[in-house]
Amino acid sequence: MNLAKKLRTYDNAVELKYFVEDLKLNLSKDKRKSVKSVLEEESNGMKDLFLDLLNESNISISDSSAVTDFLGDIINKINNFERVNLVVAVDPDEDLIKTVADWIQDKVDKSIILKIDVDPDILGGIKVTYKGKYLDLSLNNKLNGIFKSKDILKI
Amino acid sequence: MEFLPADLVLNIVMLGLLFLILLGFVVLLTFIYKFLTNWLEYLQKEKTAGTEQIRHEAQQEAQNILESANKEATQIISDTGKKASDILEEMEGMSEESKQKLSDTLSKTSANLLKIYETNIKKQKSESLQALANLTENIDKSLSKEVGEFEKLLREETVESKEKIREKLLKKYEKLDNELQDYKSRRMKELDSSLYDILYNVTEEVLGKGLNMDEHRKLILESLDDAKKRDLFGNSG
Repeated sequence: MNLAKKLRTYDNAVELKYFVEDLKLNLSKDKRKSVKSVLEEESNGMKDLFLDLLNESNISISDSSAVTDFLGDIINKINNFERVNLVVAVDPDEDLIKTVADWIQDKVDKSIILKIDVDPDILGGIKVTYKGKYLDLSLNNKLNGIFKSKDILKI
Repeated sequence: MEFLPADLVLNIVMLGLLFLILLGFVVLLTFIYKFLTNWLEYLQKEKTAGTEQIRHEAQQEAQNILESANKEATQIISDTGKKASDILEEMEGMSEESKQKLSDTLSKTSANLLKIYETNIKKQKSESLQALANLTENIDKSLSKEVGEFEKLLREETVESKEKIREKLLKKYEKLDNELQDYKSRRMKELDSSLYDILYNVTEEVLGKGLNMDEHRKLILESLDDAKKRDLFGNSG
């Protein structure tokens, strides 16, 4: 199971983590309740994803013990995700997020998720931070460089 | 010449006497002149020295000179009369030829005297004219020199003033030129800055609104490739 690939973004990871922690809490509160009944009470968008993950991991929803272990496993994985912070100029659609996440998964690490912020002032490109390192590869920054060096006159 | 006596000898004698009398007057006048000159000298001495003694001595001296001159004049006139008388006596014994010779001699002498007189007059005139010419020339030279010096002074002062004005103008010009260059430079920087601001804003506006989602995606992926090339992700992947 490639959880990072499924989640793609840090926001999704946080949402899933809250969902899983909430589920774990509900199950521990009333041990007589089955996982299925607790899930039926949930209306969170992460429910379908969670069920997919159970299915992919070949864990039966009726096996409370295995599900409980799986919940702990998910929380651990989410806590151990590496994160790439990106600042982009436009609000990214799902297609853009998938494209970027796939690039990261393929060319960097499968356990990396994206933390995306939007700043229209950067005009285009990205500002990227990873493991304490930072690069401003935005269009705004490139323009500033051109204007500061007066290269605009040569264009 | 009708007022002259018909006798030639008498005429000559009269002429001689007249000549001697004139000579006596000349001597008398000379003494008077000398007296007056000495008198003036004594007066000057008196003026400078201011002593009564000198004046007295001067008066005494003048008196002596005057008396001496008087005596000499009297003596000359007396001698003249005597000589005239002697001549008259000699004349009476003279032949016609001798009388003629004497007459010629006197005429020659008179002519010589006249000639000397004329020569002296001419010489005096010439010297006066020369002196006048020299004086004119000196005045001319002096004036030329004065005018030359004045002209030189005027020229020097004019040139000096011109030079000072030129220097002042040059300094003023340099100052103005520097100020102008500073102003130009400042304005050019301001203009550059404004121009770049405008261009930047226009570019920002155009790019901000002009990129579609596909172009954004392309730019983002290019940036990620760039980040990887710059080793932002380290050895991962």
